[in-house]
Amino acid sequence: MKLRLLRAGWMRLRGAFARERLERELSEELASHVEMHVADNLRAGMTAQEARRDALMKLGGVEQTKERYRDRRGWPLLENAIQDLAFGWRMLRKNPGFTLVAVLTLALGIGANTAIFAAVNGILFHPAGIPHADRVVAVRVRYETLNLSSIVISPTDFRDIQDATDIFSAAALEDSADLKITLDAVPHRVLAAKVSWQWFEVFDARPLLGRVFVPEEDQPKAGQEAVLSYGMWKSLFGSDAGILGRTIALNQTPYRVIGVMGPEFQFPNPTDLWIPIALAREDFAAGNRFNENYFAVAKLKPGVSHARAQAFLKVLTSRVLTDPASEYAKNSRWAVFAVPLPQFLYGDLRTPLLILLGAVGFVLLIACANVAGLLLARATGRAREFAVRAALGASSGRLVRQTLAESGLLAGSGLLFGLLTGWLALRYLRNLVALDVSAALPSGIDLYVLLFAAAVAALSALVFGAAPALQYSRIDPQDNLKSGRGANTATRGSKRFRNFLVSGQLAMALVLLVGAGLFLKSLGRMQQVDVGFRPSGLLTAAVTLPGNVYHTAEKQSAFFRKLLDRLSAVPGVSSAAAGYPLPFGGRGATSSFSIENRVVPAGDPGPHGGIACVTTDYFSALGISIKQGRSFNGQDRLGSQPVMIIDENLAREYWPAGDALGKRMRRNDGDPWATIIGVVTAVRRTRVIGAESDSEGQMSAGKGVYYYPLLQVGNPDLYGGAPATTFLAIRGTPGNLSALAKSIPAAVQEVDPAQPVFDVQTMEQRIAASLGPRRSAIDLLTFFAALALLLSGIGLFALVRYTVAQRTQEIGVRIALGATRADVWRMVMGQGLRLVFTGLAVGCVVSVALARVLQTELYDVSASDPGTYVAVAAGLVLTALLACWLPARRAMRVDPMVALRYE
Amino acid sequence: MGDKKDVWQGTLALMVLKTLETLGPLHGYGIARRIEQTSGDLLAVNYGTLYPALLKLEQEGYIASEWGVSDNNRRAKFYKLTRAGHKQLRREAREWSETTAILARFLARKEHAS
Repeated sequence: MKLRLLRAGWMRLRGAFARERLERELSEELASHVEMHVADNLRAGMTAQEARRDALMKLGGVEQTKERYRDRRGWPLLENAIQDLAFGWRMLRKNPGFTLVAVLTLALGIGANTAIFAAVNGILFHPAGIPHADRVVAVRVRYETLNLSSIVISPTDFRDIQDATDIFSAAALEDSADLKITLDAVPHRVLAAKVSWQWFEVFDARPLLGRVFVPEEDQPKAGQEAVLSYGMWKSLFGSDAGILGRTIALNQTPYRVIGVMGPEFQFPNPTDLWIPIALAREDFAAGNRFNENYFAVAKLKPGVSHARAQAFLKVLTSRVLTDPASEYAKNSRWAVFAVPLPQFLYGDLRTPLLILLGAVGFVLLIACANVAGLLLARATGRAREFAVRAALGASSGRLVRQTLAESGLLAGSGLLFGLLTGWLALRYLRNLVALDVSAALPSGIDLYVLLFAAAVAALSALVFGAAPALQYSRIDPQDNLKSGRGANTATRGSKRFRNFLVSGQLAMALVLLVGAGLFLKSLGRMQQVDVGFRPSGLLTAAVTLPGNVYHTAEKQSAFFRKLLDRLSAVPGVSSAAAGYPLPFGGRGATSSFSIENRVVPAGDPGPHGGIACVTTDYFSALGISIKQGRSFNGQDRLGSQPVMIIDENLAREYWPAGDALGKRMRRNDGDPWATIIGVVTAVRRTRVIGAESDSEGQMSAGKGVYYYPLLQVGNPDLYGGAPATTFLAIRGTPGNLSALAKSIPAAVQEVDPAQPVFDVQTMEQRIAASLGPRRSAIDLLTFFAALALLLSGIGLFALVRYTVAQRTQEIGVRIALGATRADVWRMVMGQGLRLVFTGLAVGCVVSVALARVLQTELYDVSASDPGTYVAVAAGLVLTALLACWLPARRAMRVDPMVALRYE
Repeated sequence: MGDKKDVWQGTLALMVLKTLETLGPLHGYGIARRIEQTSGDLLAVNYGTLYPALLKLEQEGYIASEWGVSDNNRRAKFYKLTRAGHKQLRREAREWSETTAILARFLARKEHAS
């Protein structure tokens, strides 16, 4: 029996391909059937006409019989699908205008979704270059009562992580360092990541050339090795494969190049090269537990859940806290915890990205509504064609499949062009967003994105194909063929549906526009936030003094004194200063301190604040005002009476009575007491609003800061290691900064030709960069809202124009009967504007509901900000007016003679 | 067509096979007339339904077709039983009579019960 089925299947397959011959034979067979029947009937005494009629009726219709026969002959599904596709292709080619608009609309919708999905997938789930990102965690520490919510960890903590081999399969520490490499007498600044040997293993990163570190190389006093990044290998060494084994001098220390990483691994980003961190044994000692200086990552063992890792860290935390030596940590509610790496890196972007994903979803819906509208308009025009086909024996299912095939073709072409659009958009996106974010974006369309795009295209084909398919399937051949005029008038139901589509589009466009408007306004407000200093007219740059040359406070102070003298002498400079960390410079450090004659009560972790180290004119150069006491001056130099300046936050927290001046404080127990000589305005340090986040970690806004005089204490490293990277802050005028930027390297060269200057930026650029991802997201949202407006405008335009074309005769009659052109104009505009106001009303209601969700993302703007709504509604109405005006003009020009003659 | 389709098609196939066995090679029209004569109104609805059934039987290898000339000198497609068709006919006929016998007994008993 199976064999029979197989044979039948084979025959049917052959049937599917020998169609023409079989079709001929079938016609012939049926013809001979009818002839024989007619001959019999004639013999039975019927008239010729009766005989033929009877034969055909008994047969049940030649065409209908053929259709039934065909179903059995080949594989109708396969055959029909091919036929439908071929037919659909011809139909699309016959209407190039329609096809072009539909495919472009879909390509925009699908392309936008593809690009944003690629970003979401890359940033939130599968960062490029990290194959098992879901298993990589950042290990962090918090001090709840010190307002440090997530900071780096200590080597001691790290040792515990590394030893937990049943939880973590690999773990590594990292700390960045600014180094200098001199090639052909030109100093280049090199961003090095000092890493422990398992760094690459945590990320499953394999080198392109050579190898990565082995444990023996991660030891103090070991021979120095370096692994180059792809970018550095390419730009500084011309992709020379002979680089392996060569020795390069970093800060005048020789390093042997042992490997080159591929372009896909850039972590942390940016990084020029990796060198062993080579921590000493004593760094891992128990006493160093609360000296947090390093960024740590770990890879979960396969099968270990995040929950289990958290549980382990909880146990670790309580074990540490039971030690009596951990009293301080206990009081400040210290804890170790882990954050999945994508969330740690890009957690902030989650909400903006999901908002964008929602926005492109709307754009796609609008695109689908547009195409559905176009198809429906065509469906009305093709009603007669379908009626004829139904009369000739096509089943309604067949007709639906046929329209779906056309939709499928449209969606397929939309997908193809959408992928292209998405790919281009993705490339644009990579340039748009900040470096550390762009690293997570896939460089091309990967499998996830491809599958997503295909699913989106298929879904849209169903969405926009369903409406016309339903309409066709309801066609009654009787009705349609009877009204001999061609029955091109749309049914009331389809008209209502098209109106619904257009109103819906306008409503969705309004929602997007409101969202974009609110965010733009919020961004504007953020840019006006008082950061505590004057960013305008401020130029900044960075230098890093190598520790082996500038190893004493004297040398460090002398360098800055000379450099600042030169910079102040540059025409156009009103003041020049140096300091670190610089607001919006990215790095930061906090530390406990003690206050003279103040005993810390039991259970209190004691005073704690951010540290800064600044030169004499720092406050005047940045425009930070002195609220009490004085600024640093020339007397505050090496060897003079130690002094300190604190900001108003620190003053408020520890001297709430306002009596901070003259009090004495110190950071470490052995340090001399420093007298507080001034209180300055608090400044925003890393972000314009919300919690601060720097290289150390996250801390709540409003944390106090204490400033050391740099020229008195030298250039100590607050972060551990060599002298810290120090920023130059030069106050000019907003107009002369680009000219001043050129004079900085020259001034530095005059003081020490070996020192490179880097990161030359205006303060306004730095602040803008801190808003970077948010701004990019808002730009994109605005773009999508504009796209939505454009698409829905096209939808409205197409509908009104189509109606005008349909009603040409009617308009002609009206004009002939005395309607004025203004009447016609009003009629057409009225029809369009009714839809616009419906859309407007619905859109406003939806916006108000949705915007409430956005409120937490908005700064200083109410989600129901009336100004935004009014402006957006006005923009929408203007666009709609234009979309209706063009066809209305055409309606006015209808010549009654021509229109009536048409009848 | 509807629910009766399967039963009807099975029956029709059996009738076609039987007709061809009785009358020898025959064209579609001839088969249709023969079935109509012996089965009364059953086929009167549509001769057209015969052709897909013929095609199915041919695809399954129970009948074969070739072009020939009819009694009154018309070119027509003639169908004839194959050896597999003969066997199939015997099997189907036996199954059919078994089924009808079972059904007859079943219906008869039901009458008793009521």
